[in-house]
Amino acid sequence: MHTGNLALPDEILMSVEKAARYIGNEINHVKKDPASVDIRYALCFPDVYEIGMSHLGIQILYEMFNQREDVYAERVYSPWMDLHKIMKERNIPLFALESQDPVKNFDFLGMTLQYEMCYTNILQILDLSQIPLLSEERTDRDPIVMAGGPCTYNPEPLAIFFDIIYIGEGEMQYDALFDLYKEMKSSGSYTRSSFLHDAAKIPGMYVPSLYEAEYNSDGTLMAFNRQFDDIPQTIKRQVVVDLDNSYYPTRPVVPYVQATQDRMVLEIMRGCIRGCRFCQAGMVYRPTRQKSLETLKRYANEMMESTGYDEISLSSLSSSDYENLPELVNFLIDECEKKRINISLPSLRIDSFSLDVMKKVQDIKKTSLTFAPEAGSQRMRNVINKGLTKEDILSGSKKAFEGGWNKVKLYFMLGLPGETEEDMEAIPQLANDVAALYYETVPKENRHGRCQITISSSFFVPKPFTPFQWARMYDGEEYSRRAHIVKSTLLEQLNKKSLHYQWHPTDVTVLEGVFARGDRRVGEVILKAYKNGAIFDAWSEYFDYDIWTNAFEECGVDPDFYTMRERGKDELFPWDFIDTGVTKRFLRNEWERAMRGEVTPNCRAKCSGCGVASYKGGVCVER
Amino acid sequence: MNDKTVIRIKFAKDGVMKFVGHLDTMRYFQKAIRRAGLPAAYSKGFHPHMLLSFALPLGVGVTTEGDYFDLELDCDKQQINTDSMLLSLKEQMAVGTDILDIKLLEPKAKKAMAAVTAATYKVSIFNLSKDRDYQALIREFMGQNEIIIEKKTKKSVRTLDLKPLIYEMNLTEFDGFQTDIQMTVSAGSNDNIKPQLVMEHFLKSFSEEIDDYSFKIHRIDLLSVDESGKRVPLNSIG
Repeated sequence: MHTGNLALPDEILMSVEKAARYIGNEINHVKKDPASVDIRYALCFPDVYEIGMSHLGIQILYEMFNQREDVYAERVYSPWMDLHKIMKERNIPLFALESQDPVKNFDFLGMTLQYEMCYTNILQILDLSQIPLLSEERTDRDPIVMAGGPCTYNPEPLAIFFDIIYIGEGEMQYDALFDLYKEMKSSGSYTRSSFLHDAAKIPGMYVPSLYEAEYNSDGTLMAFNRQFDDIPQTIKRQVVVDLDNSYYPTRPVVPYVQATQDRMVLEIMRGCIRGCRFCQAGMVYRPTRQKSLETLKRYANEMMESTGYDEISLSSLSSSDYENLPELVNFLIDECEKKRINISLPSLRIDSFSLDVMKKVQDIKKTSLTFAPEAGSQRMRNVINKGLTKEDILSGSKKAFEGGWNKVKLYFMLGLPGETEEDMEAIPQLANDVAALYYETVPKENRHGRCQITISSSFFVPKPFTPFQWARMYDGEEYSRRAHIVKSTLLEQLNKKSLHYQWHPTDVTVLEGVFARGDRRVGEVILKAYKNGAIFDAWSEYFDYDIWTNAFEECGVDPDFYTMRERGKDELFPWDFIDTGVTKRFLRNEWERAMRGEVTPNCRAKCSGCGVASYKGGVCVER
Repeated sequence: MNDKTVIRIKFAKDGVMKFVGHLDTMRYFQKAIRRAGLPAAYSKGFHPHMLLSFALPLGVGVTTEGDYFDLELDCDKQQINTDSMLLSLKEQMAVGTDILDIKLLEPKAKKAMAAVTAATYKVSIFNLSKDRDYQALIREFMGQNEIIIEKKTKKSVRTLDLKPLIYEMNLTEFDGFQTDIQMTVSAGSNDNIKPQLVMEHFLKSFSEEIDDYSFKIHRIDLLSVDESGKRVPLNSIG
């Protein structure tokens, strides 16, 4: 028995966890008559509903696409494992939430790729939708399968699965794509291959099947060439230069199931001026572009009215660098106090302004102060171009302790280029100094027990289009060894009882490294692993490294080739065919400065000529 | 002295919304109340929350046309127009939920959760054998002096006499495909009886395996008792 228009019968919905993941009907969902539109687009976040619904990018595209009368965009997310098993057993095709119609009947299926560990979920979506997993096996009846998002800056491991990969910010070229599709369909000239060929001419659209990779005998890339002269040899990253006039969702869909980000999100800025050398987002979202205060106030008010959420958060790579932050925060505090809305603050640089604000909106007894030094020693921080000094951390912590905080969280990375044991030991030593400062600053009678200094470390994964894209990684054993050095040094510290250390799993790190800088041959491994049961790899309860080890072996692909090698200066990278605006020459120069421990100033202090001034927007034209 | 302003809101929930669980339903109403601009009162402290309390949780899969929650308001009693509040809140409803009634409570009214003593359900069962007289079987079932059952709790199993906790039970529909049985049972913080439990033992009484059937459960109303001890809907007291 089916309730309403639901694709799943009651008995299945009653047997799975959180059935409300699959019913749609949320406040602000868009309802259209599918027969009245020319294009049906299934927007997909390849992870479970609660994760997908927290993602801003899909919200933007959802509202933007649905503004067009001839397009109906609906949403689809990964069914959780309980439903996945049932759907496979009973051959139930994956459906979009709004219409509950099978995704395989749509014109387009577009997925956003936010992190590498969702790659097997991409295959899960295709598999459950009953769409061929390989691009070359799809026919005119199958939807055009697309990808977007940060992982597209190295799309090669996924080249065999996607028909089109859109590189850059989604607000730019979809109208052109939709107009092309409509025109070809109505003129009768549409075939899958002719459409893809013409789509490849649209800026930012990469059609993997029309490009060929050739390899040297040592496994490195020899050449990467277009197969036709009328498509670009280089794909240019798409950038929205004027954020104030681009689309922003003010009626986000409000889930019934509690999403991981269960609040309004206000994107205040794109890009980051700091230029930390490990950070891909800081490079591929250049130039830094701010939204005006007026725009943000308007969005905030509209969202409050359309959703009824009781919490709002700010989203950007480095909120402290938003030039009107004090006015924005004060506006939000006033508005929110009136409407009883809580403010969730992002990580802010610790100074008297931010401490003051945090006191107003947070219960300081419960919240931690966060710093992200990323490296334990000043030498290492200079290598990664993270400007935070020990003095900054200590003086910020002192102010916070005086203001009543007693919890501090410090984020670090292990495995950074040139890291020595001294650098590793400096991590708990720094944490110890912060703890000692607490006891020096706060008199005994004012303390509520010990302070809690938490060290959290991940392992560094070199990413494409960063100065560190030439760096090598290590194996799981070496990462564990480094974490243990931190741990044992911690145990030698005077204030060890106030220190706590958490570190990330090592095997996931290694796999992420393969995907981040992999080439087309990695695609076969992903396919094999999925067929052998790999799925929900971002979830520790499902991640199984053995499946991956076997998949690499069966495919004859050596993961160490992608992780353990330092890259040659002149090596051609699988992602070099993409033009992000930041030149390879700049990145190499930054790599060499890193090796010398030289710091590069931020974009507002001094322009370092990275190349994105070619977009003629944001911070590049502010002066 | 209780000078709080509290309204009791009666709501319906069916269609696909029956799959939204109790906590998610609460959050949904909180957001609707904010969108409607109702003058809700909040607790103090860093993360103030709306002062909302539901009469009785509704299980996933169960529909209702008679559930309630109390909402404390932060305004003068004189300023309250329950009709316009009802319309404002109704406008914010998703398909499958509706606001049926809003009543301003007397200052000394019991909280909804404490006031609930009984609930009326309609249980629909499909494909029961046509060869029986179900009204007679119900009379026989209810005619017993006691109905001793074992009720599993989280910690143990206890025996319970179901008979005094089933106030009424009647056949209301029987067309060979769908059989509707309406029942009023004890509900609330003491002796909350689920209709499935009653159905299980009813069907067992003439030896039918409960697992072979699909049920639809619909809550018709939640009841309390007035001063004279008579059972009345939750919004006709206070």
